Amino acid sequence: MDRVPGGPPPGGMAPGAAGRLRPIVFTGSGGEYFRIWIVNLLLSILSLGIYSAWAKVRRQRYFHRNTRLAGSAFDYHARPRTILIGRIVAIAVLAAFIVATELEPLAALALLAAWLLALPWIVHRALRFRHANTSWRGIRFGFLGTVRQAYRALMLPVIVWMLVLGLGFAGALWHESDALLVLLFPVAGLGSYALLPLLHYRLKRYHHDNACLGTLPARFSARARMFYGVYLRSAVLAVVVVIGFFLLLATAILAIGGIGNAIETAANAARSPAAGAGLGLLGAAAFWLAWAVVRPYFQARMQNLAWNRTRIGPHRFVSRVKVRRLWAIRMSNLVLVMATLGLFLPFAAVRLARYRLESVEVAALGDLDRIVGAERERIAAIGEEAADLFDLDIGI
Amino acid sequence: MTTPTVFFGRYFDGRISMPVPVAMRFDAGALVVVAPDFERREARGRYRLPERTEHGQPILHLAGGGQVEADDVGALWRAARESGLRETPASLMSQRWSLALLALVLTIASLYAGYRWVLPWAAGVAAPLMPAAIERSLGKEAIAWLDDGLTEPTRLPAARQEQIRARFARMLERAGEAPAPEVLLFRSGSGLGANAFALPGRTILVTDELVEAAGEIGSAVPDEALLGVLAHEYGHMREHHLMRRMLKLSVLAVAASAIWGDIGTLAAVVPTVLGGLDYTRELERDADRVAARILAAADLSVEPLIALFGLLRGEELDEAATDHPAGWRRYLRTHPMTGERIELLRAGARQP
Repeated sequence: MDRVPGGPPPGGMAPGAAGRLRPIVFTGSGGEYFRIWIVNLLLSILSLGIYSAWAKVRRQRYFHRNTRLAGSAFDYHARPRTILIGRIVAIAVLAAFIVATELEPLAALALLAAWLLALPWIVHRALRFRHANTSWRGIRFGFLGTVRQAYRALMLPVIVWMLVLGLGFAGALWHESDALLVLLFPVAGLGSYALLPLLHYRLKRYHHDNACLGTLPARFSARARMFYGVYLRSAVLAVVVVIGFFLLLATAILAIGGIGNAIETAANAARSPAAGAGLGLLGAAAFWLAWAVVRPYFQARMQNLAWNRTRIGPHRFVSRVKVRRLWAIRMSNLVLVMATLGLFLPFAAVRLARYRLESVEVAALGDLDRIVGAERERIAAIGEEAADLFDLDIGI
Repeated sequence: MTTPTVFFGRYFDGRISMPVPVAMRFDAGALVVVAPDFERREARGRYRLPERTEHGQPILHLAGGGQVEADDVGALWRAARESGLRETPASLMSQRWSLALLALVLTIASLYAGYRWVLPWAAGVAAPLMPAAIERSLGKEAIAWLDDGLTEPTRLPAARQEQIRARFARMLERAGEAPAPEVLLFRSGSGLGANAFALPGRTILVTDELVEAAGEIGSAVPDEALLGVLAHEYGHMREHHLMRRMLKLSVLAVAASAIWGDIGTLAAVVPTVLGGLDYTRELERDADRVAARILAAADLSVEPLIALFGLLRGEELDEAATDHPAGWRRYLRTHPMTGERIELLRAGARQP
């Protein structure tokens, strides 16, 4: 368990020192972040969005400098001007995409293919940008993953899967076999879902296996099957929630109206035109409930898995996010944000960050005072802003 | 001169994560860092002060590499202020609740002003600049959508269609407008009832039912009521109302998702839908103004148009007696003939 993949760490190992748990502490305050947030919002509106680059730097600095480990805070170094240029390029590309879609549907298809092809490159650039602009005790993080690795990790499974599917459909059409075609559709759907955990795993591995703090490299030791485990348990939980919802509903109807009455009501309702709409609404409610319950479960398990299987040099992470606690925070955040028409958003962000960060401890093996920095070049923010614009989840 | 305030912290050289305890002071704008075995002096502009916040680690970046983490934000800023160093306005605003609440009020006010005045103005400027190809392709999509179940081929004889087209073209010519739109389409609007649309790409679509209803309005000039409707739809078209609406809704959607997107899709969609409804009424008034002016310039009266709306509304009230109650109602809902609109039409017609 204490084996460090990739050989002995280049620095930071004090001989004979046992791992000592050092908590990550978050010191941000919701009220203070609200004041920063509202001023950011006002200036962004008045400057027609230009200030949003400065706003992003202020926000990131506030969260980084309120996240402390071993007495020192993290720091964010990106320059607003770099971010502004990245934003402008990303938005221009998006606008071109929208105009092209309106003019020529086929061009949109080509652009979509180009976008998918560019995705690993965008992920690569965004990770480089984020790491190079984050530091702790004056030591910059870094990301050493190459573009080639990104394509191998993210593109290869997709291409193989498309080839398999394409060959399958071509074969079915060739033999004019309807049965095979009908069989292929569920296989295609299930297969695509089955590919998702693998892609997620490969993304995380690409990320956590190539990051470093100064000259101290990070290593990721999770396995694809662990990701499949989290996804599978989440899916089972979702099914249980949906079934439970309808069972509860049926019980409630029976309890209120008695059995005969309920059957009569159901029979009448089925005939009425509102039945379809009602069923659709119930379905949506069940789906939403499943989403609300499963999302915190998935996030908690995923954060714990990703961090407990990551080390930087000899130092391990211990992440103990509790599903129930995360669920309570997310639910109360949702209710309060809706009730305040969004004014609670900054408070919600601070609450969530506090819980997720303070659930992590660093099992520091030896000295945190001897981490050595490395030279890093400056990176354009285009990938970062494209990832931001399309809401790619590559958060640390 | 009093001795400058000294504040304490930890220095990091950027090469190793080892903290070095230091004492710091500002000296005529320069930052002096004193460590047990060295002293560094960074001139004004060669170091970056952090934004002042109550929480969070204040970090000063030095241009020559390295950084200092100050222990006490209060001491740091006491020293900085003595030395005449200032904070940015944004950071000052974020420190006091009174100013933050002022920012909240200003945010709401500027959102409202942007929605009420800036956005319609910008959409009006941008809409005519959009490539004609986009409008044409949008128009094609709209016609395909209508023809897919909502409309059927017209039952009007070709001669009657040509007659209406010619009268429409003559009215526009007499009003000094650009030549008639490229396409004046007729459809039997089974699912739409009596209706007329201005579609993107210089196209106006009129249903047989509307032509029929307009025929019931007696007037000295043939088809005067129908020409009124066409003038109104022409107003939508000339002013690029559909493109304006689309631009406005796109901006609204982007802005709403930028501000409320974190909450969920619904929170971002609601403002867009509400904004769309509100904007429609404004555009109707605008099209009425154009229609009144064209009718007056072509020596036509607005009264038959008003009477036609009155007829459609009467049909709606007497719903059971009509053949296409749903269709009448739909047109009235998007074209509500209020007293205000009638006033506006009459006033517009009186102007030279």
